[in-house]
Amino acid sequence: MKKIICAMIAICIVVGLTGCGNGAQEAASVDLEAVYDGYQQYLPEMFFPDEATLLNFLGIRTEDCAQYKIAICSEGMRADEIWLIEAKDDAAMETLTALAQTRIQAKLDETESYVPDQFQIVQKAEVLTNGRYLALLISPDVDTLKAGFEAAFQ
Amino acid sequence: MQNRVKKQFCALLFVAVILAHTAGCAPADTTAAESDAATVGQSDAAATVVSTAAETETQPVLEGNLFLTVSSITFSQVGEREDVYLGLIPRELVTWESENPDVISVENGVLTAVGVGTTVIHASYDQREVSCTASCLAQTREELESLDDDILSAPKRIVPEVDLKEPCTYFDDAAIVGDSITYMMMQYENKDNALGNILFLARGGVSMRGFVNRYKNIYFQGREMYLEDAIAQSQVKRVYFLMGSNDVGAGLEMDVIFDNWRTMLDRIWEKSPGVEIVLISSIPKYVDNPERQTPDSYNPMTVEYNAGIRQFAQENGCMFLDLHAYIEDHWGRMSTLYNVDNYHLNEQGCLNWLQVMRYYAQYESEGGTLV
Repeated sequence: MKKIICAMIAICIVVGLTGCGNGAQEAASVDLEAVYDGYQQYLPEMFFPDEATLLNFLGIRTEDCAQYKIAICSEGMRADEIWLIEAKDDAAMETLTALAQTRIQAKLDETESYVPDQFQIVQKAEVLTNGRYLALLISPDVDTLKAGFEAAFQ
Repeated sequence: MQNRVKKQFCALLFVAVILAHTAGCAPADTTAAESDAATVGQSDAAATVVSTAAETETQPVLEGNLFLTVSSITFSQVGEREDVYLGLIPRELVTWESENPDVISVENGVLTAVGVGTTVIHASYDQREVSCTASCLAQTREELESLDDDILSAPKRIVPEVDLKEPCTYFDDAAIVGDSITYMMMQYENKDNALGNILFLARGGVSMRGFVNRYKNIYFQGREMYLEDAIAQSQVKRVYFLMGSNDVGAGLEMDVIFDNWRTMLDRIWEKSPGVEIVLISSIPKYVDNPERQTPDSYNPMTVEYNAGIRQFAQENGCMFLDLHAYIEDHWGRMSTLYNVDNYHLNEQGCLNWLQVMRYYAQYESEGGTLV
């Protein structure tokens, strides 16, 4: 009888542990529009590329995105740019992350000799990931924007 | 014998009367005959008129609208001339009129500044009419330079207005290649998509030298690639180029610049045979002291480059679109109306560029040809 009770207790403990583990590994669902709304006070006038421009200019296929908010500065040669993306799957996440890195390199190449003050901003750009969420942040207020992205998952 | 003579005489008389009637020689009939003759003559004349009118009426009225290059042009000083007619009716069939020929005269679409002032030029054909405002600022260079800078820094030419809110599909199979000037245009154009689905291949700092020597390429769909590859992969049918500022600005010799153009076109057509090329004239920059410009300053060099790019286009099977004409002021620099940082166009400047693109698209879609 004691052996049976001990075995049942052991089984309950194992089941309980696996249950707690699954809950901790899942990323929170984040509304990227809300995240972007929190950024607006730190951003200049931005434009939001349409699907064709997202593909042709940035290489982003919207079918790879469960949700997205992508904005590029519309004021002259300022470097400000924001990507907030939830990838559809792991493969899309890998592709989008690579595109983000490419984009930063392109902007570094473009600004280094052309607009040196913007080059310094691009040098501090961040590419952040959380599960299938990706953020590319190019802004003089990158630290504030980074904090806003991380806070969305808490 | 006498009876026989009488019979002969009567017969002759009878014949004479018959002949007189048929010939219309009787007095009462003579007037009528003369009237008839006059009428016939008039009728002949009328017939001639009618036949001429008929010939005129059968001469077909030509299809096609009238296009001018400007809705408004301001000459700097007396003596300047400019052809403002684009088509589509042969200019010799168009009726040209200046409301004040003592200010601006017009002959077959060519305007000449005769005196200081402003007038209106009309072009008409059949039921169609188009007009533009034409002005002249000064008699002499000295008089011109004494005018306020507000006047001298205004654009010389205004393109006829097009409703940019109207959806446009003309550029759906086209791309535009350029540097930061084009990149900033892309920023503005993306707000309302005035050029429809045109593909922007724009990157700050690019030059024809950079493209040819492969050290500064273009990004397409997230990847850096050679320009000719981006054009080939995009499968566009026409490519507009607004290039030159970074080549001229780098002080390159003109023959080197055009050698690079030749190399670039060869590469593009090797991978995209038959793609149409439209070369857009480079725009001037703004300078504070234009009177200090020398022949090797940026703006005079840009004028030389643009003359070269126009000729290059003609000699190499390309088309040409003169954007510079709609940006420059009376000093040959970028009008202050369009200036944001001395090199790039502000929102008004980009809007102006969109107007130029859309107007010439309308002209082409109705049968015009960019030359």
